[in-house]
Amino acid sequence: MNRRKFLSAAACGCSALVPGSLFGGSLQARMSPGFRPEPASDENGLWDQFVKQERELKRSRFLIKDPELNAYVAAIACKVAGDFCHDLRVYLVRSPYFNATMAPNGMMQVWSGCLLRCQSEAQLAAILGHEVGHYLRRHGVERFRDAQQKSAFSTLLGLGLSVAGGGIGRFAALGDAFILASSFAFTRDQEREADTMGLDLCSGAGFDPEEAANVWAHLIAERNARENQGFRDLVFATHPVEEEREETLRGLAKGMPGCGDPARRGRDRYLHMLRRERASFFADELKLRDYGASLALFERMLETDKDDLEVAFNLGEVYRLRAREGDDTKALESFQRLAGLPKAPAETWRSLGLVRRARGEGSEAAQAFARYLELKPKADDAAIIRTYIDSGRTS
Amino acid sequence: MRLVVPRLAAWAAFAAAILVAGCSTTATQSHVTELRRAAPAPKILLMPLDVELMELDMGGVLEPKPEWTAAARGFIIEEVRAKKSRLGFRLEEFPEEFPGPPEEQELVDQLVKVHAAVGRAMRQNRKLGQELQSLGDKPLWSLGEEVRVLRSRTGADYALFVHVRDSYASDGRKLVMIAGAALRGVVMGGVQSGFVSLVDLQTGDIVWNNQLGRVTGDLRTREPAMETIRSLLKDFPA
Repeated sequence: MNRRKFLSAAACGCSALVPGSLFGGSLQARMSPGFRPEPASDENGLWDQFVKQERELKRSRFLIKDPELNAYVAAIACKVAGDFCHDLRVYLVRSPYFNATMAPNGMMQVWSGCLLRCQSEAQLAAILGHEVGHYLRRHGVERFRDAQQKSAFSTLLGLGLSVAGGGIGRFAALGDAFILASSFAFTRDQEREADTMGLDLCSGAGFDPEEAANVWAHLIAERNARENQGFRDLVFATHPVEEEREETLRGLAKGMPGCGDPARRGRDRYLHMLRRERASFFADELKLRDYGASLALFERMLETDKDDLEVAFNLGEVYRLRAREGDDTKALESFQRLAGLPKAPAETWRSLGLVRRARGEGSEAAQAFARYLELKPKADDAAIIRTYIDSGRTS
Repeated sequence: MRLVVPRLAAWAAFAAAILVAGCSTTATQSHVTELRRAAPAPKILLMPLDVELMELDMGGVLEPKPEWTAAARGFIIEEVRAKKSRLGFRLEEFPEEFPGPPEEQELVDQLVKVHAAVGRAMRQNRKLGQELQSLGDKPLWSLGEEVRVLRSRTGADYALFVHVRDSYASDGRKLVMIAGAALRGVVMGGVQSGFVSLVDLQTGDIVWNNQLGRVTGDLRTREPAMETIRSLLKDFPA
């Protein structure tokens, strides 16, 4: 269906179905496909900044190259964006945090931490839809103009105050404070708009809209398990309170076609596309050393699919790396259980060996390491593993 | 989830710093009076220009102006070419597509950013009338030996880095400045600031650096632009 037709159709359907909708119905795009800002306009100046950033991003070493995965994510973005497909470029960036960004010129970034956390195609589509929502509503330039207006207002206010006897020094300080405060993050209202719009786009593109709320449920669980509660994610700092967001999204999704339909989630296809990169995403996640959050993340992933052996392996890794009192036993149990399964990752044996070795169980460690090398004779770390085997035998 | 944004606020803070430091300054610092001569003349690689022109609006927010930036870039390139014929060095302008693998292209992006950071540090640490600070014979300021890639790719002896941030008060801002002045205060207007460095591509050391910081000058139109660029390239080693 033509996207704009869909949007206007949904505008009727939605407000009728969901009286609680924040905006009383669906939102319209503030541009048409192929949009370019007027030459010499402020929006054009803003775009130009991002054209430069995009040029650099294109040659960044942090881009994920996997052509199949790139094509796959781009295709989902296209499906969600409809007629605006050709106005967007999606870049997959290796960064282990949950984030995606949208620049005013259509440069979208999806971080690897986001890809790891999504449990299905529909969840990824929900995030892409949200970003497309920012683009279609032209939130970037809106924010810029808002900052201009606020600072102009404060400047004039300051002048007025100084005329009234406040002194010019106070005036200058007022203006500066405003410039710094408007750090150009989207506002919470803009986030709500993007949520609403993204949901419409996803549901219209045939994805289960409830998955948008599930993304948030997931992140809330992870946030609550974070060991350093002082650390707030980039996302959480500017976005509406997560609980409110999950609730609103779930409420809105209820009235939409395909809500809660597992056939519209595309979990298997999603994991299949991620297969070549996922191990490195897990490795990056573990390097954050935020073990409480990683445990919550992996446990939740196992709730969705208890037979996902890659997740089970990484859960064991959290215990092995955290190495607190009793963690070695938990790690050992995880790896032993996995080692009994035919499709366990080869690295299970290496980790089993490392835990055994740390416990001073030299000969058991050597056995596990030998098994690892049997399964992966050309492993990058084969040489050091051999020295472990030798030292294990002599100990 | 977030909007990626240019860091205009940092620029505003910097502009304020210039204003505090003094109205108009240029300072040349040099380790060389003469360029090393590979036969028949030294070869200089002009790096991608790191130039941004912006308009300062009424409230002090900076708005990027790509049209002005494009004009300024054209003037800078023109003047560097003129210098080349006058001083007799060989010039290679950085190609649109760097003839190397993507990692090296990324290195070029990074070097331009490193130069911006090092140039700012030089500005903050300089003493007027002083030569480039050095540790004995070794210059203190360097972009690092990674620059050698540029030498091996292009055969250049030196690289010329140009960093310019220019802002111009909008009409609304000018009114506020006048009103501020009437109240016997100072409201910041546009600021012209920039620095250029000549970098030895064997060592990465900055052998010549010129800093410009003032509240006058205009890069948008030819006549005043040429004056600005000549100030920026003043005392370029022959």
